[in-house]
Amino acid sequence: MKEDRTIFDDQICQALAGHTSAPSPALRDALMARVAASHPAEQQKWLNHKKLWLSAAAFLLISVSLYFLLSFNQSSGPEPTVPESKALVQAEENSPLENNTTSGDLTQEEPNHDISENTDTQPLDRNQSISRDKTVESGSVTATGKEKKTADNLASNQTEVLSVAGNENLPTNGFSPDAKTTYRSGYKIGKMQAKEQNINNLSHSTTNEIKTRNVSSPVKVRFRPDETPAPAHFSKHSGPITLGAHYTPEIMFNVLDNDNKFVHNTGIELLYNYHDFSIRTGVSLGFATGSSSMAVDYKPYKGSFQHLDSLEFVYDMQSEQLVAVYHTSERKVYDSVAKQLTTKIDKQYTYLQIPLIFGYNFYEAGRFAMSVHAGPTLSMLLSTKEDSNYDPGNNLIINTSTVSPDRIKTNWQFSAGIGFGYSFTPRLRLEMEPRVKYYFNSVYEKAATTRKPWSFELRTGLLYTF
Amino acid sequence: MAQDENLIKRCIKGQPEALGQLYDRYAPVLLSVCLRYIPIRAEAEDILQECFIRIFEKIGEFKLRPEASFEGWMKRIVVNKALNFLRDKNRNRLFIDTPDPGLLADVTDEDSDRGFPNITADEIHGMIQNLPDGYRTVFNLFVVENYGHKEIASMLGCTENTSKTQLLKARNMLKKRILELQNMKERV
Repeated sequence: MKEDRTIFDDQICQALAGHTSAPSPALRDALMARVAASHPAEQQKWLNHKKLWLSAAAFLLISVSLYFLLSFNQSSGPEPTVPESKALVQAEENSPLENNTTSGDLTQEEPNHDISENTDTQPLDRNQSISRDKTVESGSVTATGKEKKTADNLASNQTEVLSVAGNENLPTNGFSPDAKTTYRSGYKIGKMQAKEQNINNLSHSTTNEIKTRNVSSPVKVRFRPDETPAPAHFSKHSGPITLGAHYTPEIMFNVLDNDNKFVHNTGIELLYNYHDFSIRTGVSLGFATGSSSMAVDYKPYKGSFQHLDSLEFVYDMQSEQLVAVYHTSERKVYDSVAKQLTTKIDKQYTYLQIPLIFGYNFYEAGRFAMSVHAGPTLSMLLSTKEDSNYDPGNNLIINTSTVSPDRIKTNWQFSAGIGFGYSFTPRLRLEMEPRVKYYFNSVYEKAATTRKPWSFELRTGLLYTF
Repeated sequence: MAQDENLIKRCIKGQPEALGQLYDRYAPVLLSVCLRYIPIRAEAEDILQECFIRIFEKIGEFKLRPEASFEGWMKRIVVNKALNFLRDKNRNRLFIDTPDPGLLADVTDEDSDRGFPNITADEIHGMIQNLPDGYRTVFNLFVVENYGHKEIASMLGCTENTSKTQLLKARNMLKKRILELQNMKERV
């Protein structure tokens, strides 16, 4: 109970309890019409949000699926072993090959690992020994176990087996005991090529002999997961510093209805690459447009009259009498009751944006790369350009006040997205990065209209690595 | 409250008929509140309309707790809107310094202790409406809305002393008018 409170106050409260005043019926109709007009839009907005969320979810799902699909295909796909029935080299345990030991065509079951194309070839050496368990695994060629067979006649038949595209060749003549050659990640393992003519000759000449030999274990050829095209010169680490330019259209949600939801951002960016990680910063300009309402208090113009400022009498020599001279000025008349109208002002806001985005490259295959990015961005309002078509005419403007709030001067955002990169050359690449952005603080100045928008944007950047 | 709860839930879902029901149930009470601050009916109705739009927008934020008063929440919205309107309209002219020294002389409670049985709520409401803007606003906030002088000073951007003075003058002016009306009715 407040000390200033009196019995009189309580009596007033008691008397006013339950007091009502019936509003005019027109008010209800007007309100319901307003609600009906705004409600579908609200619903639509909600639906739009829902659709956008679903789109974002679908996009993420597709991205993740794509990533795992590609990984799965390369890491756990069926091994391209040479089938037993088509054994290229069959070695008889503990007994040297007496003659040509290869037969059949040199083919792979997996189309991804087609070994019958694109190779530099090397002949097998006549005097090398061949293991019965020859395995090319994880980018290496190993020869283990009982490698006792010589392949004297392999060389003579000029069967060229393995090679590596790119910079390094798989030494197919290295079927010596414990021979092991490891290939760098990302390099394409070569594709076996058997010159058909030689193979045909070979197969014709050795078929009968092979039939008489004991069948030993087949040669197993297994390729490392990422032997698909990944030339060294498209490596993402061609340099630590990357410079680029970007354009990023943005669609914002949870902003005032008068504001345009589309924002255009463009600028330059600088990346520092460290292994699979990167830090991106730069300077961008963001252009947002919107319109705000301005309340104008004015007094309507009613007309004008000639106000008598002074009266002068001049003696007229001709008529010999005093003549009155009226000095007047025009005075405007305004209504004594002030009125108010609301007019629209178009505004263009220019923001300076400084991002600090951290990235991680989680996938790379040849020219194509994928990465995730997240980080904060600082936006500062540089300028506001206003444009209004309001013409007051002869009315007297008493006061103007902005009804809609202005944009805030400084704003923090956090964005996250998935980047897709395509390298045109080892140094020049195009990146597209759909991302979601959340605004930490309201974009409006008035606390009454606190809005924390979020947005969906697509960054498109052209980057050059030094 | 259970009825309110159901109505609120339907309003949150955006059912237009629920919004209509909400209006029908609370518009008279809220308009009465509005008119206590803004005596011109057309202006008060405009503010009420804005308030209902605001209520429809923010109804999802109202917490359905047993102790929470939905009507109180809506009244606060109305009071805040009305105050904003008065602030914009009057622009530093809200408080008047009435030269009538008699208003500062406190009318004794003895005169009003017996209450005012002959005076209707409408008449009291009308007399409050006829108070000057500053008196009326402080009186409403202090007496009806039960705010303290410190809060009123912060809401209206004035000093606590101004709030106290305005309240005193408002109270005395109202008492006088009530007594006059009461005497007149008794004479009749």
